[in-house]
Amino acid sequence: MIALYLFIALCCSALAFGVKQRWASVLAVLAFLSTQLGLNYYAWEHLNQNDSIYFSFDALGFIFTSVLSIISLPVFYNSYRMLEHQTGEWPDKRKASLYTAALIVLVAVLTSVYFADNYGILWVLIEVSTIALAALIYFYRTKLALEATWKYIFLSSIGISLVLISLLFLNVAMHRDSGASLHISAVLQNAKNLDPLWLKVAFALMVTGLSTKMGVFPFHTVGIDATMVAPHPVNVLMSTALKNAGFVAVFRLYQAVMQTSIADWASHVLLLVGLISIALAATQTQRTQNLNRMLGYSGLEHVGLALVALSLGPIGFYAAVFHLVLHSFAKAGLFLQMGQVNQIYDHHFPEKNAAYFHSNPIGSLVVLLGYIGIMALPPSGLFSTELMIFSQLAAQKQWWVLVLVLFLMTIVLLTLGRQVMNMLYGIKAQIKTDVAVVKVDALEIIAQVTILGLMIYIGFNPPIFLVDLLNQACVR
Amino acid sequence: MLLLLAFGLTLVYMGIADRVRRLIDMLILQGVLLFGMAIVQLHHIEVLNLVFILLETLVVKAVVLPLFLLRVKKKNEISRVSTTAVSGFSKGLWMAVIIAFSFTAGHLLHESSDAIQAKYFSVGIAAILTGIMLIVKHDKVLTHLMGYLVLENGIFLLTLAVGGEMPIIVNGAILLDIVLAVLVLGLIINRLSTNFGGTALSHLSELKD
Repeated sequence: MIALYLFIALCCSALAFGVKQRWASVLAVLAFLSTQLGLNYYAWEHLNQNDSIYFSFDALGFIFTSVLSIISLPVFYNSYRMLEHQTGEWPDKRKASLYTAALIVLVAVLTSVYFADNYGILWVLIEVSTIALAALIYFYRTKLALEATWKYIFLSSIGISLVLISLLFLNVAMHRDSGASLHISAVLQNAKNLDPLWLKVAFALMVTGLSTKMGVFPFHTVGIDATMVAPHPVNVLMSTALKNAGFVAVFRLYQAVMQTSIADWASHVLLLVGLISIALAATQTQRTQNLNRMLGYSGLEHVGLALVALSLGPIGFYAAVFHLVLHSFAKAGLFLQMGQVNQIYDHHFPEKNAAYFHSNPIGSLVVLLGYIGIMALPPSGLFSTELMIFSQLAAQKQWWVLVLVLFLMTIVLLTLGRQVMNMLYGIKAQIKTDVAVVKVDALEIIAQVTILGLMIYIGFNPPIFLVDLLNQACVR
Repeated sequence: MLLLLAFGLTLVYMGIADRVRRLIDMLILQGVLLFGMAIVQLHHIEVLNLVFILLETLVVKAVVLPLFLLRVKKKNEISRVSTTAVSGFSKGLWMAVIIAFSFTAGHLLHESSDAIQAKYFSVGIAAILTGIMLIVKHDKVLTHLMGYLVLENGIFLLTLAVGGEMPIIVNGAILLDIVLAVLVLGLIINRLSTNFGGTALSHLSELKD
């Protein structure tokens, strides 16, 4: 089924890229979104079943695919609006068609990453996502976009090479030389027989290599630089679905590692990476004035926290996965709103965007709600997952980690809060009154509020089926 | 063994060379040497996979990519690997450290597991570290690109060291990865030269906090 899904996605992408007309792009997107939702339904109907030898519809994949499917709807709609706004009457057909084609490919490969049951295939798909993203980051064709694209491709290629080396070592750890040993389920089944030394090296390289995708230390800068220049719908995917894809790949190996003698060592690695990431987020948000970068650092903080949760063992898995689901909704709502900020001010510097309440009152409320969301302040759904993580840290008596994380997260909260308040109620309000009150697209606002509302609702009142899925995802 | 030794020497030469042209020559030689090693080591694998790997080494690594790099070099008039002079002694010392470390690591890992071929493993690790050194020690983006190719050659040697046969789809993706990365990055170098007036890393520092 996923092979068919990828084929249809490729056809849609080719249609958008080949015909270079607005109708073709719209048709391609509609066809692709129908397929995306269709695959989501099919996966639900065939949960815990294999799909060919390379894919499997498991709970973890289903959860993140559902998040991506939900987010994809406003992402494609916002992209359409952005292309119209950016190119007027859709005159730059080449640019618009390349963007649409690359966006379809990106969503398709990320979906496939979630369901991949083979490390080799997973590696291939992550590689393709880099190429699609490079085309999207370079959308504005500016000097900064060029710089960000260079850095993204180069560092991602290095990261992907490290992941490839980790797969070679994983092969050695399996004591087998056949390509079949790269199956994720086979690694899980044979976890107890894995050679600890080679597994250690493979795990360390996997975490390092995929840090370009997860957006955590050590390769976190590549994504943050890209966030500064990429179109806002692309930022939505980079800060949510892409991070989730990197997380899924690491989590699947970590589940196998947890059954071996190096479980404690691996937990410490994740704890260290998580803590450094949160610390970097806390220090770097102080230095930047660019709101997109700040949101990028906020992503660094949240994925870092998810890794800290993973380090707590199976009990933290639930909190980590749930945290990333809710973070995806919160961050998607905010980044989508950044599109309107960009439309009004043409830049992302909070001080210069002062008096946003004057220009876009409803959009300002979305920013406020989004800020409350990503900062995990009640009623944010992230409040409940952070509470789970903190209580687990306390239960395991990891007091110094708890205090450090709380301290660093408070710094991020205050710094980001100051900048957001500057933007909404800034002291330059009088100067900025020349900015006209704009009429914003109602559908865009509805989508943003719905996504943020979903984050609040499922955070505090998770449906039973979601709880079941989360539990299944954690005990594979 | 001779092929491996020759490959190791190309690494040492690349580590201390100052001219871009010399690095490209070494990349061509490495492609040919990898072709030879693939014939020796992988004759037992599936024919289709073997043909694919041979094409990858001889056609892509030894001909297509070096030719493309030569075009980029000529178009952007890049002759030296770095804008600032890096002392030959320092580079030589780095290479000595890399080789000593690689062979020690290969030897130690071979003792703990007989699943790897120590010689291939050591040279593979040395190639990866040399690639990283080329990236870290030089400030021209074309040199970084060549460092990346050396790193990829090192990974190829590691696959020979662990005797692993990747499925053809993964081999295809590895090839696609290398070709696309080099072509796209090569084109970006051309654009950098046009937009920034040079290809030194210092031009790529606008994106910051």
